[in-house]
Parts: sequence; structure tokens; C-alpha cells
Amino acid sequence: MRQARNARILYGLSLALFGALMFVVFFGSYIMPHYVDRDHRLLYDTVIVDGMKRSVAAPFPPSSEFWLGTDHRGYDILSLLLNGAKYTIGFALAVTVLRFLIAVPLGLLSGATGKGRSVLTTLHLVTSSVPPLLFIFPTMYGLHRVLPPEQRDKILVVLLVVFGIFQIAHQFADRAAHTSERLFITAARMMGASTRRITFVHLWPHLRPELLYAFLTELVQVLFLFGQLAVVYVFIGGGETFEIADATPFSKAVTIDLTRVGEWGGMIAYGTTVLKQYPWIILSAGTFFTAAVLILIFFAKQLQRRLAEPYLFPSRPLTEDGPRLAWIGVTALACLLLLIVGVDKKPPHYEDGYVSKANQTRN
Amino acid sequence: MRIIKALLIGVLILIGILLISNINRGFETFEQDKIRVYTKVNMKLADVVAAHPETAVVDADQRVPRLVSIPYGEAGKWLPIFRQDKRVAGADTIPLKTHFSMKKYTYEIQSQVKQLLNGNFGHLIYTAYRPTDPPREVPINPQLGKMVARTLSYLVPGLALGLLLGYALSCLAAWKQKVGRVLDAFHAVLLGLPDFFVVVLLQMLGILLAKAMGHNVYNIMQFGDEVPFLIPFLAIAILPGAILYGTLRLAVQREWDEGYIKTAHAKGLSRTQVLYTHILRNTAHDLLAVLPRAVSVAVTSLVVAEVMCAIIGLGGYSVDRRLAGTTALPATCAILAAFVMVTHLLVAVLKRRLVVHTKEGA
Repeated sequence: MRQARNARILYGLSLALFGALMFVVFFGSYIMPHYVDRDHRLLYDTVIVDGMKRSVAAPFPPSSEFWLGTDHRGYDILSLLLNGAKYTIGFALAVTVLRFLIAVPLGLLSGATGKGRSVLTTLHLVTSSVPPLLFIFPTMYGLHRVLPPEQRDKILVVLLVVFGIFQIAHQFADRAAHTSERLFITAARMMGASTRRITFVHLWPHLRPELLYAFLTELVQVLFLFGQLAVVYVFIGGGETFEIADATPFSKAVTIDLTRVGEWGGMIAYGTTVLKQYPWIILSAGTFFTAAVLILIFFAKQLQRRLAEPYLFPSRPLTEDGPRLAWIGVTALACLLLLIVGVDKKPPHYEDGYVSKANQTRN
Repeated sequence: MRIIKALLIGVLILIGILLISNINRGFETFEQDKIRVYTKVNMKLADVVAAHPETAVVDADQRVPRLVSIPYGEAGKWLPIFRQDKRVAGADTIPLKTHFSMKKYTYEIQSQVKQLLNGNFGHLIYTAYRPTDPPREVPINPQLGKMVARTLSYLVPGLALGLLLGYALSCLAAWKQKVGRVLDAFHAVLLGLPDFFVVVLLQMLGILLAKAMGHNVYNIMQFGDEVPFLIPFLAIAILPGAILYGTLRLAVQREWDEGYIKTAHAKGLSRTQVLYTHILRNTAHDLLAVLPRAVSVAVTSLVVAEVMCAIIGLGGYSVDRRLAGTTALPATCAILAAFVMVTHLLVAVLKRRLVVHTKEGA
């Protein structure tokens, strides 16, 4: 009894946290405390040092106005991270969905028919024996010089998808092969069912419950890979170049790449570059990233438990479950209200090739 | 047969790294077999070209010929030759709209294979001190030995610590149930921590400790010959250790609850004896099953830690701020991949030797 109550509480908590994460993903730009554009940045501030007024340049540490501080351009980091959630999680979701769309049918057909199993196993071994970072990093490093960000992003998607397909396909092929040995499949085959019908009508319903858990686990793996790639300056969407110090006859200009939209990978890459001087940047980006990963892992774990021990989670059909319906209704209404009344503060699109500088005119 | 298959997979991985990491070289931004040469007044291009039998004038029918054909992919060699000729005012490449060329890709792959077979692993291209100077190209070969030694100096001990921690803590968790529950919770959090964040936390701890104690406690970045050891060492140990703990915790608990362990205790064997003679031996299969994944995670953590601590090792040198670029990345990534594959091979051999197969005969 107590075990069932604890299980339900934990599942409810994980669902609430997952809902909160999805809320940030979909409505992040509506709950940003500050605008992220050139008219609303704080490039300079005045502080009093030893009784003297001094002008100091961004980035500024966390304060009551900027809870997580600002970056070199004077943009609020919390706003950037809230806006960037949809790009990072959305991109990770897109990669995971693409992996599954290709891998699951491939795995099911291979498992059900036995065709191409050895090829699939070999490709699985090739792509999983070595960390994908060792394949993707040198490729993107080389492409950085020859291709613009949009084309690089496309190649990054292809690489991220390809290096995940075979592992998922192999996993589902194993499960399909295992289920194919059961009597009802043999019966269906003897009755003249086609391979396609056996795969998608008979096998698929048995593997569907595992799919959501496998999907969430894969999403976490993709996010982990994003984090690793960010550290080596590979992230989606490119960014704008910010000049920290002007070029002199003796040295080149010191520049850093900053994300325009607050994509978490870009923020992590930027934060690692200035870790010693401005630690709040990487700590903020890292905390957001880690929190998202932990929420997804927690939700996946509770979901797995729910699927494995359904007797612990007695539930009524949605139409008969008043409290659940009320929660869904209130949440939907709140989201709708936010869309109508709230202000979308997403950053504007600036022209390419713009290089902002630390010594620009004060705003 | 299995050894041949393993070797084949190893070769496929190395070929894969070579092919994929050189995709950028397949993009053409200028003509590969032609250059534009401007002669001085009263000088004929045909006379200039006559000194070099491998080259020829392409547009001889034009009033002022400019185009010279050169051997494919050798613009870098021929431009300085023509520029140094006193009869030539200037020489340049012919720009093209960037596109992928299979011919160039094949040519570049062949060149790289030849280079690698000659023992040339690529170059480090350093940014010049003055903006007007060209970047300096330095071969990586003399540095490579030091880089490998530096990387292995924390990779091997880190992995060993991870292994030791995984085993020791899983035994402790099975032995003391309350400690086990705490360790399980800690393990769940650790598995959710991205490797870069572990390194960030260790670096922040280093900064805070240095501030509190008034002196450097441990290095958080490479400065000259002072290479951080503790951060990469711990970063490599923690995540693989957590993975090993997760698997071994279940395996040790499974064996701990077995009847033969209770019999061993009843016969008078001490806990240590039971651990050494029964549990470690019977969980070897689980350890060997998860070890390859732990090694992969360790190598990834190594790259992340080296990059974040600015260590000039196999994984971190490429993002050094002083570097304008490098051509050695495929080779160094292949070395790291080879390390992973060697451990896989060792694990396969150990599996054959150590694991007791209990499959019943027909």
C-alpha cells in the first residue's frame, strides 16, 4: 500500500517536473524577464569604487535585476537560457525523432525477417564501440572553415542521426526477433500474413510500451552528446562574433562567438571560454542543462516503473477522472491566457556578419 | 574467426574516422588544376611556363593569356614558384562557388593515407604573433609522444580508480543496506550529470579552495609545464565509476543473496574470503560486459576535461586558443579510438579466460 502510494507520488512529481520543462520549452520566450535585443542591453554600468564613480563594462555578475548576470553583450543570461530551451530541447527532440523514424522500422523488419541482421549488428558495433564525439568533432572542426552555419547544421543533424540509428535498430531488431518466436506470430504466418502485416500489426503493439521509455533515454543520450560537442565549440545555429579587444599592430583582435538566441550549447561553449573570469555564465548554462537532463532521466525512470508495475498505478479513463481533467483544463487555460496576454520577447533576427564590440556607443 | 571479425570492425572504424573527418577537404573553393598568373609588361606567359614542364598555358588563344594548368591539387606548391619568378607580377588561385567535389575528396584522402603511411600525422597551425605575419605550421609528430604520455598519465589511473570505486562501493552497498540506499541515490544523480558540468564543478571547487586557503590547492588549467592532474583524473574516474557501480551493484546483490554464499558463511568463510573467492569471480562477467561502455565514457570525459582545462593532450590540443587550426585531428582521434578498441579486445580475451561458462551440454 505504502509502496504504491510512494510510486504514485514519485510518478506525479516526475510528471509535474516534465510538464514544467515542456512549459519552458514552449513558452520560454513569454516568461523571459528581459528583452534580448540591442535596445534593451546593459553594456555599461556605473559603480562607486573608493568614492569615485567608475564605468564598468558587461558582463555583470548576478544581481537583483539580472538574476543570473549578463553576458559580454549586456544581455540577461536568464532570458537567453529561457529562450534557448526550445532550440536545444527541440533540436534534441528532432534528432531523436529522426533516429527513431528510421531505426524502428529498420529494426522491426530486420528482426521479424532475419534479413540484414549481420549487417545491422556490424554497423551497430562500428558506431557504438567508439564514442560518437570522436567521429563528429573532427568532421565539424574541418567543416567550420569551409561551410556557413546553416549548411554545417544540416551536416551535424545527419551525423547525429546516423550515429544513433544502428544502436536503436539493433535493440528493436533483438526485441522483434524475440517476439517473432512466439506462437501467435507463427500462427499469423501460417495463415498467410505478409511480413509487413506481421511487423506492423502483430509485432508493433507488443513493442509500443517500450518505445516511450526508449525514446526518453535516447533523448538524454542526444542531450549528453550536445553537451560534449558544445565544449569543443560545436553547437547549432552559429552565433555572432563579439570583439573583446581591438586588434593592435602587435596582436589580432580577441573575439568570441556568442549565441544570438541563447541556445544552451552555445551558452556552454561561451561559458567554458570565460570560466575563470565570469564563472556565473557556465554555472547558469550548466545548471539549466543538467536540470533538464535530470528531469528527463527521472521521468523516464518513473515511466519505466509505471510500465513494469501497472498494478501500482490504478487509473480510470480520462473522461471519468475529474481531478485529472481539471488539471489538464487549468493548465491548457493558463497556457492560452499566456499566449493571449503575455508578450513574446524572442530576440529579433539581425543581419549576418555583424560584429559587436565591447567599446560600442553606450545605450 | 572472431578475431578476424574484431580486426575487421577495428579497421572499419579507423577508415570511418578517416573518411568522415576529411569531408571538409572535399569542398572546393578554388580551381584545383589551374592558377592565374599575371606577367610583367613585355613578358610572355609562354616563356615563363616553358621553364616548368608540368605546367602549360590554358588560354593561349586569348590576347593576354593568364591561365596556367598545374598538376591537380598542387596550387600551394606552384603559387610561390611563379610569384618568385622575376618575370611575374603576381599569381593567384581562381575562386569557385564552394561545392563538394568527389575528385578532390578522393585526391585528399589518397594524399592523407600516403602522409600517414610516411609517418606524418599532420600539422599544428599556430596564429602568428603579429597580425601581418602568416600562421606558423608545425608538424605534430615531435609533440605526439608527449601528448600520448600526458593523456595516458590520467586516463589509465582514472579508469583504474573508477573500476576500483565501482567494485568497492557496490560491495559496500550490498553489505550495508543503509549505505547502499544513500549510494544508490548519489549514483542516480551522478548518472544525470553531464561530464562537462562535473569538470566545471571541480574547477569551481578549485577556485573556491584557492580563495579560502590563500594559495593554489590544485591546478584547474594548464599553465606552461604545469599540467592539471586531479581534475581530468577525477572526471575520468567519476562517470565510468558510476556506470560500473550501477551494473555491479545489481550483480553483487544478486550473488550476495545466493544460497551458496550463505553456505560459504555457514562453513566458516569470512566476508573477505567470500568476497574474493566467490563474489568477485562470479560478477566478472557483468564487469566485462559493462567495461567497454565505461571505457568509451572515460575517453569522452577525457576529451571534455582536457578541453576545459586547456591541456595539450590528445583530446584537448585542438581548441587551444593559440592555434589557428590543425590537420592532425583525424590522426589523434584515431589514436583515441584505437585505445578504446584495444580495451574492447582485451575485454574479449578476458571474457574467454575468466568467465566460467555454465551452458549445459546437449
